[in-house]
Amino acid sequence: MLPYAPWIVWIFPLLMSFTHFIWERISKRLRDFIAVGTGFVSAIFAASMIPDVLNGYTYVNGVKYTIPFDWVAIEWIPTPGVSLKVGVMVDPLSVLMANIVAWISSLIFLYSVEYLHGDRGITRYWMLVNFFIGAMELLVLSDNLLMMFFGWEGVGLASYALIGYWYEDHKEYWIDNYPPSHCGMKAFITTRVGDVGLLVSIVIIFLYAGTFNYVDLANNASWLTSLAKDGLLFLTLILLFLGPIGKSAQFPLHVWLPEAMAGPTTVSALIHAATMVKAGVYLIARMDLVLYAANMVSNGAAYEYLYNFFLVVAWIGAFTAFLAASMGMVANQIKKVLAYSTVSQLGYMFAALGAAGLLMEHGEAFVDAFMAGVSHLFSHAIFKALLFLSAGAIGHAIESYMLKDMGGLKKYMPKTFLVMMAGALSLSGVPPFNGFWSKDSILHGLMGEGLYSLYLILAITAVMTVFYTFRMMGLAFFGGESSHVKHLIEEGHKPHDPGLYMMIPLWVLAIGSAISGFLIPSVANLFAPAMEEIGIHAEILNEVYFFSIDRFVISTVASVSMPIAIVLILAGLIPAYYGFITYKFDVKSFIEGNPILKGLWKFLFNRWYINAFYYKVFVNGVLGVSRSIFNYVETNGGGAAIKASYTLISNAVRKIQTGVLRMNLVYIALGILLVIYLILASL
Amino acid sequence: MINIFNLSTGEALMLSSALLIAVGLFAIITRRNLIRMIIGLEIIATGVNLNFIAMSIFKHGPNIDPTAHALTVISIVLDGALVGVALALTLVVYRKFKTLDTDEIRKLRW
Amino acid sequence: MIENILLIMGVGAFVTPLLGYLLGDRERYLGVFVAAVHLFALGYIYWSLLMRGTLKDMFYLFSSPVSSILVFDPLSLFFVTVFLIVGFIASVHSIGYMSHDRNLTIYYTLFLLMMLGLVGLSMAYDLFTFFVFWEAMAISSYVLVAFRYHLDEPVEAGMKYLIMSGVGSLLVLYAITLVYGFVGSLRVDFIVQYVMAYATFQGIEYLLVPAMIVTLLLVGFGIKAAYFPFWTWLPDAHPAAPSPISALLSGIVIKAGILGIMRFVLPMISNIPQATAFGTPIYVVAILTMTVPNIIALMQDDIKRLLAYSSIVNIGFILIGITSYVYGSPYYGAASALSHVFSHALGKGLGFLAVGGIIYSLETREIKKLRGLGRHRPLTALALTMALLSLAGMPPLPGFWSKWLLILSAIHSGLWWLAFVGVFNSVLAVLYYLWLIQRLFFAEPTEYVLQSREVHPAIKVSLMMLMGLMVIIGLYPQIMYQLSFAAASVIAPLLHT
Repeated sequence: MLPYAPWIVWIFPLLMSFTHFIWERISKRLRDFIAVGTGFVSAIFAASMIPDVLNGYTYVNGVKYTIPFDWVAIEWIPTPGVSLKVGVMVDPLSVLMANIVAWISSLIFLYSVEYLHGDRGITRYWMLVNFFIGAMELLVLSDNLLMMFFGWEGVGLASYALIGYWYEDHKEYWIDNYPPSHCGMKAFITTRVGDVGLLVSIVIIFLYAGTFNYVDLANNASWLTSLAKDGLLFLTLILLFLGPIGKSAQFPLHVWLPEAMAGPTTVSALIHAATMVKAGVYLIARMDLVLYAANMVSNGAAYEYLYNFFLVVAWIGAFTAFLAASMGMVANQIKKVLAYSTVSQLGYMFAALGAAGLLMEHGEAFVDAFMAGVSHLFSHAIFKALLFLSAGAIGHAIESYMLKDMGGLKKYMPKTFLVMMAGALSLSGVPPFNGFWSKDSILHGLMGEGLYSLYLILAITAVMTVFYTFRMMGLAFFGGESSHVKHLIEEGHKPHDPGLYMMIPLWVLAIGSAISGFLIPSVANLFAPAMEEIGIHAEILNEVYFFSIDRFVISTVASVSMPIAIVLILAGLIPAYYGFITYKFDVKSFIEGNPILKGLWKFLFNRWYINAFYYKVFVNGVLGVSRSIFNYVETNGGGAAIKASYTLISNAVRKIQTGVLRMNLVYIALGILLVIYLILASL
Repeated sequence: MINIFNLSTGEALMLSSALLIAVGLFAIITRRNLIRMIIGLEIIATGVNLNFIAMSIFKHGPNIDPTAHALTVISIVLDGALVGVALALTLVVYRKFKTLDTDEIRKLRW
Repeated sequence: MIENILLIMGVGAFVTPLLGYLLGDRERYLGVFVAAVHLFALGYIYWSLLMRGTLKDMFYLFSSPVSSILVFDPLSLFFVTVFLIVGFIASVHSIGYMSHDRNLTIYYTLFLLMMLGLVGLSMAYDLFTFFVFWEAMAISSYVLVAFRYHLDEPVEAGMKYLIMSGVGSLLVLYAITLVYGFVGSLRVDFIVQYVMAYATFQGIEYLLVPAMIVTLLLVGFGIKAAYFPFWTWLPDAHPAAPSPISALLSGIVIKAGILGIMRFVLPMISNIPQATAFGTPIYVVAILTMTVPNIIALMQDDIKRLLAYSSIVNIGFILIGITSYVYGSPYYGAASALSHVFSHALGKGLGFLAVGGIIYSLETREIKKLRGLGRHRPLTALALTMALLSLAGMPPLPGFWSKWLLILSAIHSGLWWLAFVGVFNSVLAVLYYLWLIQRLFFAEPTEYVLQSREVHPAIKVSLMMLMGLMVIIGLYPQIMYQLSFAAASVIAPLLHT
């Protein structure tokens, strides 16, 4: 580990984010260089923690610590009874997350140098993205819930500002009928609903446990049992889960993510791949480990409640996966398709992590499901960054993200097509791309442990995933050129592949998508010491096929889920192939001609009417209530009464300040009498 | 109950200093003229200084403790400084307001 | 060694008039010298402490031939630090703010004399030394309040301040004579020993004399610290003084009363078995001090008067800590009171200095004329906002950390009512702070604001320094906590030992 690595990883970007306006004065190139460099410095420091985690111990100032290594440095706020400490945690989950965040976002930064070249607010952009990753690294590396919450809020704040980056609300940046600033606001308010629940549950946990620290929470289960005794455990955990639901855009708070693409595409890539939405997954993975250990310590005293909680997590994840995939099949913008696919893939992760919680009593199965969720997080980060950045390259070339404005781009942008195809294959789970390995291990795990209903939903979702992925690819790259593209060519703006700064990250990520599936066992090996720490011992781990590469590959390929996976892929690919790649089958007239399908299409296109429902009930409702409060309470009725009453009281009380010197001296005399009376009366 | 006709020197001085302080406080509360208030303040100061001497006698009898006298002298000096400032301020007050009646000078209130 | 700090301040106070004479017409630059004296004194303390080593168990007694005893312990360190920081920044501010006044030699001499008094107060170990420095500070402050004697307001306020504070000083002196008579010594440690021996009698009739002494001290210090019902001079005197002096008066001079209570009264009463009986008046006074001025402040339209009332409210908050000291959690109680002293000195200092900047550029104190200041004078408006937010207890600012500790210590000693009243009054105070902030930033600028002149650079520098300090302490409250916990450890263990 480089010295102070777990601190520098998050403090450095946070500090640097406030300096860009200085560099800008000197030179714009210097500013870009420093901003990208900040990302890479943070990434290198993050990477330097990997060997320590693999070895299971670390040296700090010559003292050996075992992993998870809880580095408490500063007594923060001395308070009677308890003490709050600032600390960072070096454990497999945090190091894995830190590396994903730092490396993916560094590549995205490199890409943005060319992508945003010439934009006016680019200093603001660098400040916000550096702050964004700093807050995210704080979130993942903190060793307690409170600091984690600070990072959580920092991420929310930065995402709000970045989604509304084009705050002038020019018409070209609108998403359907919403200007970017509106989209930023929507994201902020929707996630805030979840954050309130998270904060409440953190406070409840603190009141019961007297600590925010993960290690203390894991090792001392008395908070778990006493919460269960008071009947609050399930409620508290659900409140906690509200945070991830909002942040990771799960049903019913998924509505903000499709609009979150109003910002620059690089921001969408950051939000979807590396930061922001992964925060919720991270928190649930963290709680998986904490609750597993606490459950072990308390001998399953509160298992019943935990089981119910993880049932909710798994089902919300599975349902969201299905819901979002169904919306993705009809979406009309390339970024919207990708946004729905993110929601859907996050649903997979929640389903896997929830299933891990359900299997808490069986060590081996827990590790299986947990590792499946975590490795899907890992592969999704890579291929989703790739897909978004490729979409950004398309948008850069044709200045539109509408699928109807594309078509036939394969001829003009061959390199972009190639790298995006890698992402698409990965997303649809085609072997040997990384998406296949992780998605297959989720499905495999669910089937193997007998959670058939979850398995069924996610398998259907997998078909839908393949379908919308290739529909998107077909509409964008195959078929004839759209009128928009033709128009561009006539004007002399022939669509072309992007330049070097944008291509390097794309190639890196494309190669990563292709081969990183074989890194999953290494990722798993990262976790071995932590698993030991929470009570899952080597003999159990040896049963888990995740931990060695040959067994991982062989057991995945040779298992019953492999042929099923191929069937699922073909089931999605064939209709997409005939409908959107070769255009042999006219989908449009087929849907137009069938009233049921047309109704279904409309239902899906309007996002199950959930969004409209929220707008009607919450937005209009709140505005209506506040308007009537403003009219009847603030200006005319109650507000005036409050103002009048405090004016009255204040005017009455201030009369004691007479301004007559003798009265003041009388007060002194009376004060002497009061003090001596009070002393003597209470003696 | 204390027999006021049969007091030691120290006790008598203590009692009279307490009386002086009471008189001073009474004066400062009931008088409206600023000069009279300052005089009231001075009466309190005298009473307090007298109490120092009284305490030294009360404590040590005829063998007088010089500390008390030293402290008294210092406190009289400080008192002189206070009165100096007070009288200077009184002059300015009179120039500004053409009156020394403190009940009239009440621009600052509430 | 460390006692030389008094020498530094004293030499500064004597050199100032000479230097003023030499400078002649350019006497306004004396402020630079005064600021340098403060900085030098502050540097000297920390330098000599570093030479001596650790901060813990620091206790240096210095006796002089005239039986005056000085001490330098963490409590002194705490108060000297607070005093000198605020004094330094106020003197920098004075360079700009007072640049159009006359008689500046007198102003700066009195400024340094007052600071000398304050530094001496924090180092005094016997009551009479305390009293001498007390008077030095008080008399200089009377003149400083009435410094602009060509105006009505300062003269009237100075007159009232002098009479009331004079009575207070004499009550303290009377208590000192009684202590001298009954204890035979004026040193804190001897007083404590005496009280401990005395306490073994246990009889109520034996407690009459301590009760009288404590009453007189509480009232005498209370007039300076301006708690209920002795605060009537404060809303007159603090606004009337020039703004740097207001910052000093509200920031640190009223804390001298708190220092007196901490140094002398608390060790005295905490060694009496019936300590809680002596705590009752503090309890009652704390509640009334928080509530009554808060209600009065709601309707203020003079910004300096508003801040003055808020000072009284904050003295009430400090009394929460002192009450919980008496009622069973001495360590946290004292530490929380001290950290509120710290945060309020910074917050209220910044508030008055920012208002000084506003008066400098607008020449008005009426709140309704300050509308929309944020757009035209962003620095002063930002400084005022930061001060108000700190006083209101916004989390990343020092005010939050100290209030947090105050409420916790009240709860720790079981004073739920006091904690509740504290929280209630915090909220009540937020009402008028936010109202003020709202008018500073979210209103159309008035013509006064549009015609305002640029703020003097010295004022800007002073505001930025204090804002920087507040941000540092807000982000890393450990600086404040360490100083105040160390100081609290001086007076806390005396309880029932």
